[in-house]
Amino acid sequence: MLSDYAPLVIYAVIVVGVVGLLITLSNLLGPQKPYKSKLLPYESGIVPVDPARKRYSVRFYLTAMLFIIFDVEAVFFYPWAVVLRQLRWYGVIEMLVFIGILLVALVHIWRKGGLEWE
Amino acid sequence: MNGLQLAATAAVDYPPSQAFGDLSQIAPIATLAVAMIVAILADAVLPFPRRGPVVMAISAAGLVVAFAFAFGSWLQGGGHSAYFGFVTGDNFALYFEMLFSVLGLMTLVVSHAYVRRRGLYEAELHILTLAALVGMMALAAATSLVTVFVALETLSLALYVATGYSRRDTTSQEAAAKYLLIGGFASAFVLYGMALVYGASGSTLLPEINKAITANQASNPILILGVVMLAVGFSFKISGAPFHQWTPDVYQGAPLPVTAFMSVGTKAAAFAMIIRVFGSGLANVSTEWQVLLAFVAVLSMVVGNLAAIVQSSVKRLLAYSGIAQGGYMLVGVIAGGRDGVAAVLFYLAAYVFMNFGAFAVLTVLVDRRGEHDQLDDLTGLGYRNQPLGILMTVFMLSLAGFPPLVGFIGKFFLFRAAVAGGWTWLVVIAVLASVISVAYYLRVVYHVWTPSAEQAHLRRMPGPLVAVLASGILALILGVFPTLILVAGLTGAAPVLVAAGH
Repeated sequence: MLSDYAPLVIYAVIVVGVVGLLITLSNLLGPQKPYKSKLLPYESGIVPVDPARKRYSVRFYLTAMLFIIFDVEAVFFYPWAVVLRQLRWYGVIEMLVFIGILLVALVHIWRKGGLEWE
Repeated sequence: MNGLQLAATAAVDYPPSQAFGDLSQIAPIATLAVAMIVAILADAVLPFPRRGPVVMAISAAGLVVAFAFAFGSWLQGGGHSAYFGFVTGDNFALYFEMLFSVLGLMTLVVSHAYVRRRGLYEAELHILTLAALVGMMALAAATSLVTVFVALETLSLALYVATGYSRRDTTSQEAAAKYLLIGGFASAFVLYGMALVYGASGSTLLPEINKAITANQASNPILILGVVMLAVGFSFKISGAPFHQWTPDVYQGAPLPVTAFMSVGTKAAAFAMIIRVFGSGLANVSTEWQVLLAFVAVLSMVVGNLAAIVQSSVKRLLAYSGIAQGGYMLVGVIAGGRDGVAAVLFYLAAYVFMNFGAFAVLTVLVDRRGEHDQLDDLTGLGYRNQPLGILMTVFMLSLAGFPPLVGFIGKFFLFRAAVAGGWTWLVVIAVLASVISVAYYLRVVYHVWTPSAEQAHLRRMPGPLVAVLASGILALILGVFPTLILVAGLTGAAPVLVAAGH
């Protein structure tokens, strides 16, 4: 029973080994000349002005959460689209119900002012 | 045959008649889900003052129809497996669906009165209650690890939000954050356990797992690790010691109707899950999980009862009492068999009424300034409002297990099943622990009947009073005529046993 998982263990060992080896080798062999502007956080070529760890508006979280819901909705379309021919009308109706439920959620968010920034 | 092929062939042979047949098996759950969606829409589009009453009406209608569907199916001898074995409408599921419908209706009336008095927004609390009820019912009906987990998360997520419903109350916010973190932790345990059990058995369907796992697999480390992780996760959910620390804080911080609802609802749903997964899916390694659950049961009974004695808040006291009560019910689960499972089902129904009734009494003491859940706030309750005082006494004595109340009969069934199953030592500890519990239950009664300077009559609150009265009457009737529910419990226990007996 346990031996069924042997390939998985071998794979894990190889992954850790190869990655560890590559990091070690590049550290050992690569030339290292650190100076101050090289060690700064990379911000698309602009010199950083502020530390990254500061407080920002809770509204970003709300937007992110709403995004996740509808993003996950989109993910469900892919497997559905693959087997739609086999599912036939049953699949279409099922997906319409699913979208309908999320539409109700969208209406609720909209009416409650969840989509307004201010 | 790989997964994709299986899905494809299964989908081809899915005629509309089967679609309707499957839907009818989950009719109570589907009804509640539809009611919840309609309620969400009503809450969004209606003018502000009409939202609360309309959402409450929709919720009540959904619960009544859900109960009717479950009861109708029950009268026809129960349903069967549906959706390729992922859920079922058997008597075990129907028993819980009826129980949760009644619990939902009682919660509605108590919530309604509570939000009015505290000045909170009403509609969303009912919607969250419905969402949690959908999860609870689905958990009782789930026969695949996948549906078990989805249902468990549905119920948990709704309750995390409901716990923090009192937005300006920092203790409520703190409770919600704690509950979310600990609950997520517990869910991770359950999920890892499920993954390992799946790895060992090759299926997520409980009957298939039961077939794949034979007694000689008990030495398979993957399986045993899975069982241990499941036991830990489940113990979190029923707040069994040593995984109980979140319970008092969460119960105290949550708004009273939410505490009342989740203290009994989560417990009942989680026990349904334990009986389903352990009792029917992993029946052949019962020796292994019985030891784990016996450890949790003993610790819960001892820690819960001892800690409850020193509490000054009735909410915390009832939280610790709930930990201990979970321990008693675990004794029934460990005993197993027809009598053991039926005893747990009976005790869960009794517990729903006793505990909910006690919390509903506290709701009457709520005013705009907040909740009054200290023992001292109860002082003289029996003189300020005699019926309430009498009923609170009934609930406390019933929880303590005094005859002829339902708590006594329930414990008797649990312990008798355990002795018959050869768990006498466990029953000895349980009886000793329940002797300790008398101390703090009687302390509440003592406060209720101590005269106090405060003589003001309590403002009438019809909602909680109805719930209190209904719970009290049921606690009395079931104590005298226990067969009313016990027969139902035996019928409900049957499907879980058929799955295990091979």
